[in-house]
Amino acid sequence: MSGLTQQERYEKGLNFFGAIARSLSHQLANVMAILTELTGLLEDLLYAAGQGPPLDPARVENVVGRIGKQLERGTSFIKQLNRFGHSVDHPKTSLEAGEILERVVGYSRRFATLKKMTLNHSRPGTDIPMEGSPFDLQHVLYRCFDAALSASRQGSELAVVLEAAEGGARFSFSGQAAGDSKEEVSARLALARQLVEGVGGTLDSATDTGKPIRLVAFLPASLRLLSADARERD
Amino acid sequence: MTGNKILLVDDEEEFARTMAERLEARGLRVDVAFSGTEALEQAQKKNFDAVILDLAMPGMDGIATLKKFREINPDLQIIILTGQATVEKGVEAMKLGAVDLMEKPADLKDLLAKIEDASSKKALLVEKHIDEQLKDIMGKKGW
Repeated sequence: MSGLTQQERYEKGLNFFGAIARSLSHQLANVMAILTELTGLLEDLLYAAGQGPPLDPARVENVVGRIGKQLERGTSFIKQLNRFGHSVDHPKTSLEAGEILERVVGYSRRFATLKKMTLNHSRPGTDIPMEGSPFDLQHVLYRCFDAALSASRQGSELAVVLEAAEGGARFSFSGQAAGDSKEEVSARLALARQLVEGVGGTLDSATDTGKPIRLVAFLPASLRLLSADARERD
Repeated sequence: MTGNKILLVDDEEEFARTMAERLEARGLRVDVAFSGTEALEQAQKKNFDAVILDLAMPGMDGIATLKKFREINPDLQIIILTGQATVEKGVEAMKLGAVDLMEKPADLKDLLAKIEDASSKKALLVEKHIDEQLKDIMGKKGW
């Protein structure tokens, strides 16, 4: 059903893990670089004050405020990275679809930014309980985002709506065509579909050039484990 | 060092602004661009002694920007300053004509030394071109 061999599923999972770890650590490196410069700027101000004109408290306050903002930003990346690392701890656990969607939106935001795109998402006010591997669910949603981003026009907006559906959850992606080459979009879409089907779901898609993009992934409340799926089939 | 004109290209606005402030405090004249497209527009209007260029940027990335810079002005001295310094990217950037590659966060003293080197190379290239032009003019006049 999922059309991928165990080895391919393993490699795709590892590739996803690497992409997210790289992206978050890259953003963290940027924060560290900014903090290095801001603390350097404070040193510069102190040095200049030692040479003559008195230290301007407003200027120092401004730099301290900017340091605070970067510390908050860095802390958020560390939390995301830590939570992501822990997502491989349990192959089967209780999940909440909205919470996992929020996480994947967080991971995908930088990939969208690199394409000058904005990501918008909405989730219902009530929880949508699911059961399965948090890593698999994140992987599947990430591949859906990846396919939708690939199909979308640079500079456009991609919207994701989560809704409860009978027996599971529905994730609807909508955006504006056209993005990457047809071959590129097809390859990413095929992988997303294979993984969605691998956890027991279905993926409907429309990514024709010139028409609005629509990807609808239905995922069952009880997700099949991608690795168990591999054991059964290979 | 004092008076060297630098273009700093980075989509992390806070990084670019703070770095510019620190370089300016050391006597450099710094223009800032937050995207590859913006940087190319500035490079077409002004003459810079060196460019400090990030690699991972939205839209036109650092490698694409570097290629365009080289087309506009092959003498432009470009220093890559990135948080994404992989060996492959570094080799690619150097092959495309970047004069140096530094990883963020960079030591300001090291960066200043590289800017100084780059600016000296640029000055030598400008002198060389002037000499060549003079020789060409003198040759045509039969002097």
